Order: sequence, then structure tokens, then C-alpha cells
Amino acid sequence: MGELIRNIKEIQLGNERLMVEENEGYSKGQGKLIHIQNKSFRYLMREKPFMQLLATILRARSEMEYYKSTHPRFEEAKKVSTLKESTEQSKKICLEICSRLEADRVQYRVVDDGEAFVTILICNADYTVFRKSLKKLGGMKRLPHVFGKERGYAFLYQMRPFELYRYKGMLVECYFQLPCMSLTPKTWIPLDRALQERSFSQRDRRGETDWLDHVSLYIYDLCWAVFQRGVFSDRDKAKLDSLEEALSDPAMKPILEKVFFGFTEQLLLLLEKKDYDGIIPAYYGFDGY
Amino acid sequence: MSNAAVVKLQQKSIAGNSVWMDDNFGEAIHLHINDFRADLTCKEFLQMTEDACQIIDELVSVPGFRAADYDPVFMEQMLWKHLLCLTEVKRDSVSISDLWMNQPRLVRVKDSHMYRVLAGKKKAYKKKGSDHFGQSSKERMEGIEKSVKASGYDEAKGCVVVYGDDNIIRDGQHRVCALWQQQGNVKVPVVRLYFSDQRPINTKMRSGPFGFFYHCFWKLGEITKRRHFSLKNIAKSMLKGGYFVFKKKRITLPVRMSEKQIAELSGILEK
Repeated sequence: MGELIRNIKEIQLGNERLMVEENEGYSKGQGKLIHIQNKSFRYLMREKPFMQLLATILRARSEMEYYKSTHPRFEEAKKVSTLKESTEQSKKICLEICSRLEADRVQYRVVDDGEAFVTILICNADYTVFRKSLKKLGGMKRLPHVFGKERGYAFLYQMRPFELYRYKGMLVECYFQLPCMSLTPKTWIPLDRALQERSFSQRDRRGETDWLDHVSLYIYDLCWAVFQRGVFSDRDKAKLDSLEEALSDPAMKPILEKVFFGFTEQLLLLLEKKDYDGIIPAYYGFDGY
Repeated sequence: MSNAAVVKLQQKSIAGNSVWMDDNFGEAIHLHINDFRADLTCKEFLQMTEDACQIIDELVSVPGFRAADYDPVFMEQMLWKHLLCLTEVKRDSVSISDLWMNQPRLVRVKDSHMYRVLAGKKKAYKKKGSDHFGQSSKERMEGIEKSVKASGYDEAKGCVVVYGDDNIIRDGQHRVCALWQQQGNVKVPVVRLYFSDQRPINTKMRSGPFGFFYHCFWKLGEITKRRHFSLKNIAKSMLKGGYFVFKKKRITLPVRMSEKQIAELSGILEK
């Protein structure tokens, strides 16, 4: 309804065809109105805000073209990892912590370790028991996590923030869901629910500690390199190479699709060819969706 | 899981409506207007932008005006506000020495901050970030410098834009500075846009020693013309803002950690 001045252009939104019309305003000072409508649907805007919307859409395109054609910047230094592998001492400390958790029936999986740190995934449902276990261990000093809430990071979808402790000189990093850094700055989101469930339904027993299974670990390491660091370091490449058999696991592709969506096919080809450095530019430049 | 690879393309409030567009890699491009969302493929989004250009041209309907000829950043930041009042478009050619830059006192191109940085007379850029996505001011300047060196002043990439007859550069400051630095005082093609709602600017006053203050008063005059301006509204929003900061939103100070501690932990936890 309204007095039509002219039809400006017919546009398509998905499967719907819509007409952009210019109409007279309802009152004298209102100015002209723009209707975007078809037989079932109408959206109304005043002329000037509509012009602003169009300008915003044009600007959005220029932003998209820029980052799709420009490789994302990363620090060259991040390509070389300075972390040292775990030692006997660090493994002993890790075992001590895991044994305590097992004794108290806290579900956990070791995600990563090194000379000075261990990263453990704790089942969120066992959080209260986990905190009691730490008290029993004694000597655990809580530190603010550099990627935690205290440092301005947001944790979406009710994700419990990371916790960091120092125990006998080692850093103990605790996740409560497998995390993935979002491209939205300083934002963490949990990896897909299927992966979260798999991380506790499957395991890789190494000695006397439970590790994530090869598929979960592969996807976690991949997401860490792509989203958090923005580059594949030599350590990342070595870890992915060591977990190569996960690529042939039938569970891999469905879970990867939940993270990388339409890019999954291309990603699998790059991973099989071990073209890790090509993944991030290809991902940013991907427009087949 | 929500898509981790979400890049916000644009976000703003338009006539009280929250509008934003984000690119969900591998999934779709989303256009949100309040709680309404449209999912577009890349192809559909590009088609939408083509349609947007054509719709702008139709709405403006001034001979010689094509939305596609103008920098999208300039269009989104400045030009859209006046387009409905566009009456005429003229092409002209002006010497760089006759052009002004708004900083905010009007200065000639050779006295501008940008030119002095290019000529090595000034060390740092005033603004760290530019209006262009992912580029700092310095990177943008360097990119334009290279482009001008390689292909000179390329009209296809957009002309210098001035409003009316005032010779104040509205878009194209970086290019003009790079061109002067490389080729000297040459004539550049400009596009003159004439609007029915633009008052001519007193360049003599704006460029004089009190140009900054003149600009402030002029700006204040523009603000007072806005519909919701009143001292009462200003006082209200100041009180509201103050209340919000001190009462509703608890300011949490960041945890005190030394730079050394942060560096040590980051180095390990980034793995």
C-alpha cells in the first residue's frame, strides 16, 4: 500500500524475486519511502537510510575483496616453534596429575605436552570434583590465563573459561571443552558438539595417561594452527604428520565439515598432499559457497 | 558449533536498526537487519552489490554519476549523506597546488601531513589505523605510493572528488600526495559534485590561523541543525553514559601481570 512513484529494480534474494519500489511518504516531512517487496513480503525504509544501507553493502564488498585477495598477516617468527619436547621430569609430573584425576574418577584427556607445560581437557560435568582433586594434590598455584577472561577474551556459548595453574614448575592448562579461536578477535568458541562427545567417548591410552584420540587431536591441532596462530609452525606440521592415519578415519570428514563447511573437500586434498602452508591462503580466498 | 571463521564485514546502526554483514567462511554471507537474517552465497552477494550500484544510480538519476566510479569507503563514510541532493556532476582538471586538504584546518597539499611524511619531513603517521579494512594508515599510503609509481594517476581507479567549486579534496588525498611527490605539480582530473544542500565553504577563513576554531564553530552549527539536538538531550546522554560507566557496568581492571610474565606464558601457551 502507498502511492507508487516508480519501480526501481527487481532483485533476487535466494529463490525469491523482490521489487524495489519508490513510494510517496505518508506525511509531508517523511520524504520518499522505499518498499522492497513481493506478493508475500514487504520491507519498508525511508530513502536516506536505504541509501546508507546500499553504501554499507558496497563497502562490505570491498572489505571482502580485500581479505580474499590478500594473505592474512602473521608473524614470520611463529613459523618456528621454540617449545621443547617433554622430558622425563615433565612426564612424571603429568602422570602424577592424571593419576590423581583418575583416582577421583574425573574424566580427562591430555591434549598437548611439552617440557614446561601440559594441556588437559577436563569433562565439564566433573568440574567440582576436579577442583577438589587439585586441592588434594596440593601445591597448585592458580595463574591468570593469557587467553582467559581476565585478559579480555570472550568465551561464547556458555563455554567455561580456561584455567591455568603452576605445579612443581610446570604450567598446567585446563580446558573444559575443546576450544577453537574465532576469527572475531579475542573470542573463543567450543568445537562442534560431535567432537566434544567423541573426545570423551574415544581415547588413546599412552602409558598410564589418557590422550585424545587421533581424530580429535588432529582436528584440534589443525584448528589451533589455522585460527589461533594463523600459520603452521614446524611443530604443527610434525604433529599432523604423526597423526596422518586420522585422515583415513571415516569419522574425520563429517566432523571437519562442521568446522570448515564447504571448504572441507579442498582442505582434505591439501592435508593429504601435506601442503600445510597452502591451507590458510586457500581458506581465506575460498569463495565457493 | 557456530562457524569459527566469521569476519564482520560491516556493522552499524541505520535509522535505529542494527545492521551488520558477516562472512561465514565456507557457509554463507549473512545480512542482518535486527532479528531478520538473509543468507547469501558469494555469487548472490556480488550480484546484490551490482544491484545496489544500479539502484543508487537510479535513485540519484544525475547525468554523469555512476556509483561504481567512487571508492566504496568514501561512499559509505561521506557521499551517501548528500547523494539524494546531487544536482550536477562535472569533470574538470586542476593543478595539485590549487587543491586543499582538510586537516581540519585547510592546508595546501604540500603543507599536508601526508605529503610531509612521504617527503620524509615527518616521521610518523598521525593515525595508526586507516578506514580501510586490515590496513594501517602507513600500509595504505605505501600501497598507493607503489600503485601511483607503477601506473601513474589511473582514472579507472577513481577520480579525485571535490564538492562544488571549493577545490577541497573529499576523496583522493593519498593519491594526490603521492602524485605530487613523484611527478610534481601536475594537473589532475577531478570530479566536481554539486549538491543542493551544501553551503560553499569559506576557504580563506578555514585556512587562516583561526581555521581550526572556525571549523569547530561550523561543525557545531551543523550539529545544532540535527533533529534531536537539544541541550536537554545532551545532558541526558551524558548522565546516562556516566551512570552506565559507574553503576551498571562494573569496570574490571585487568589482572596485574608483568610484561615478562605475559611474554613467558604467551610463548608457552601459544604452542
